[in-house]
Amino acid sequence: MNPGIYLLIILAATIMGSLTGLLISIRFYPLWEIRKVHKHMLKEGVKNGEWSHVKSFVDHHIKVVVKPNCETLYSLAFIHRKEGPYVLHIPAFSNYASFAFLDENTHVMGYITNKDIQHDKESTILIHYTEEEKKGLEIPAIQLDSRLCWIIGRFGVQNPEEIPAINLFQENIRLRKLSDGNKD
Amino acid sequence: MIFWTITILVFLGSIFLSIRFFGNLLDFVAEKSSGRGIQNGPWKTHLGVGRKSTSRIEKAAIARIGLGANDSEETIYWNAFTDQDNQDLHSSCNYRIVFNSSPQVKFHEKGFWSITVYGDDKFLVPNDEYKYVIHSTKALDIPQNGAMEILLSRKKPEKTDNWLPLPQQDENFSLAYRCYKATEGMKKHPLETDMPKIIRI
Repeated sequence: MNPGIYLLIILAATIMGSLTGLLISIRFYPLWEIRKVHKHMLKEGVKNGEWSHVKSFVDHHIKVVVKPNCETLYSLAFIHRKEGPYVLHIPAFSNYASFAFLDENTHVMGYITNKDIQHDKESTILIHYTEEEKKGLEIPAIQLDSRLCWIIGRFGVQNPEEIPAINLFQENIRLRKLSDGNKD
Repeated sequence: MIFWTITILVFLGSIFLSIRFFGNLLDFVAEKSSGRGIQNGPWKTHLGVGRKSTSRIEKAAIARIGLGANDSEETIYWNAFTDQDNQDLHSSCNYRIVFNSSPQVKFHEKGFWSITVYGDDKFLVPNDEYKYVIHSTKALDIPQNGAMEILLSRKKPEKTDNWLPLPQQDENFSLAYRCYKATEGMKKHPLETDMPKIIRI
């Protein structure tokens, strides 16, 4: 074969390989990033349905997620569809608070914000996947449509003296499988 | 036979390298182009964060620079990589961030704002004081009309607390201006919002 043809074939393989890699990356990059966080939490011993609380402001030593914010405290959890619906219990809270529910592709499927959180008593919210799972339950609900869901809680801190009280609030946020019934 | 083996290896190697350096491409997309996003002065944002309708490349770029970000209903994230004169933000210079009016957040709904400095690696800037952010919930020198200034420099000034440290090494840096519970005005008309000016001193 003519050496020029060899070079053309190699060039074509390079271009096709680069484009294939690019398409794969565009499609899966958000998924890889979410999975990276999920794996990190599992490695730290935080199972699905359990909370990982960030109880102090992030500093420059923390390199888990790029561009971290350092004006809110976080509580993070993953839940998986195979574990069925969950019930989220949020203690009374009056500062800024939000819980975002992200699917594996970083789409925000829903929020719980200050308008859903009572400032004088505990709030209870059902996290479910089908209408059937909600039947007969008269509590506020959030419906998910993905296998894996990343719950990100953010809590505003007005001054550093509030941090111990917010940490206590974080520790009292509970995720309970609906199938476990009213154990506690 | 050897030629085709080499061709397949080149193909697979190109896939690997393309995936390996995709993050760098996303950095370029995020920093050098506002894409279908919005640019108001040096500040760029994308109101499609967290939405299914956002294009795949934009979703990937958002996952790169703001994984886990709220959508714009809850928070609007503005990023700046240049100053008011379109020059790259660089740690060897000093800057003033000038607010001519109160930031557009719903304070009555517990909304707040913050300004954070990030180094070239997109992480918080190492400094002995552990100071990375100025936000509205902390005590600030803020006059009644909301007009105020924040100084960015390597060296701490003597006169003001409204200061954020820049990286000690010579490098580009970026700013994030987060507006938690932005006003309807900012959400609906982000291009007309009065944004803080970033002025090189």
